[in-house]
Amino acid sequence: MNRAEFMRRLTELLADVPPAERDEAIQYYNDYFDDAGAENESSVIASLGAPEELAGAIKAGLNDGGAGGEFTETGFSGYARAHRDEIMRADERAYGGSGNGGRGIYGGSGNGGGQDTRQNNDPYSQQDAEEPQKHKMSGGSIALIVIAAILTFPIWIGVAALFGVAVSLIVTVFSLILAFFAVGLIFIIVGVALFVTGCALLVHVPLGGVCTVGVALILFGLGLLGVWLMVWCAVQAVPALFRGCAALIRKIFHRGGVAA
Amino acid sequence: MVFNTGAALLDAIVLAVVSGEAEGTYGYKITQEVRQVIEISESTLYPVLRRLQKDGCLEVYDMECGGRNRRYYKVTEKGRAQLNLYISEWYRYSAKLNSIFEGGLRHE
Repeated sequence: MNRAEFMRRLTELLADVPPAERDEAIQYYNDYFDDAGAENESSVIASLGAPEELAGAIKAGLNDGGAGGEFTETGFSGYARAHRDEIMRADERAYGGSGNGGRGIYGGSGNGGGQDTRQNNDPYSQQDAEEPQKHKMSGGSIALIVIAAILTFPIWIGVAALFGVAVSLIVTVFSLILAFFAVGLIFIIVGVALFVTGCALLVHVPLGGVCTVGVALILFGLGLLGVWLMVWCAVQAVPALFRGCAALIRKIFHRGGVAA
Repeated sequence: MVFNTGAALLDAIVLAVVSGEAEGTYGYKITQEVRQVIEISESTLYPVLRRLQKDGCLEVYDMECGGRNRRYYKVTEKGRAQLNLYISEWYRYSAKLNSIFEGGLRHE
């Protein structure tokens, strides 16, 4: 198998990986052959192993990519996170007392390494300190909300009572308006009926007829007035009432907030 | 080799080799340098380089070389921080082992 055959086979075997990954790998191994030089072609092919193995390694790397989670913003996670506390504790003594053995061999560079770790561990220690604080804050805010709810209990009762009163008032006003409206309509209808009757009576009993027509006109007028008043109420007064109630409730809530 | 090279140690070695070249270095050279210190097959390194690249520890760029484009790997800031962590970890780890080994020898 020569280079061209090897690469063709590798390309075939990588047919099922994303094109970007395939191109990346093919480019890498083309570079690899180029850099090894034509004279080393057969030894490179021998050491790379079968294209099947190589493709398998590339695919395994893709599946593993990041899944090992060893490289994160806070350093390598898999090992370091589990041993973070241990590392921090060890940090204090490792290069002080028990690290003598290491010093003997690594000399000054060992100390350098220690300093690096301390820098790297700083974000860890901050993180560790922040985590429980967050929990405390949320617990505290829950307690505050509960205390506020208990303290403002009378206000809640008052608000509830006021709300009930407001609802009954609104219902009453609506019923009254509806009743007056109905009465006004009836007055109009009766007025019209009496007017007709009165007109008929005018022929036989002129006096009674005039009286009846007069009464009919008065009733008709009252009915019209009533209906007009109620329509005005419904269009103008009730919305005004609502606005007033809303403003009152808002004022109460505002005061409640200040008191709490 | 008697001892296994775990994934973290291999990453550390690769980062160290790549960071040795300020202008970056390329796959074949990295492989040869790593193979001077540990026994790994030539197919092992590509997945490691690719992962380090995806994790932002390495960046790649193509540079004209002998009439063709060669892909270069360079250590990023993140990669450097990672490498520092590995190095300090390694000193700590090896210091512990050394103290045990030396202590063990002393007791004999």
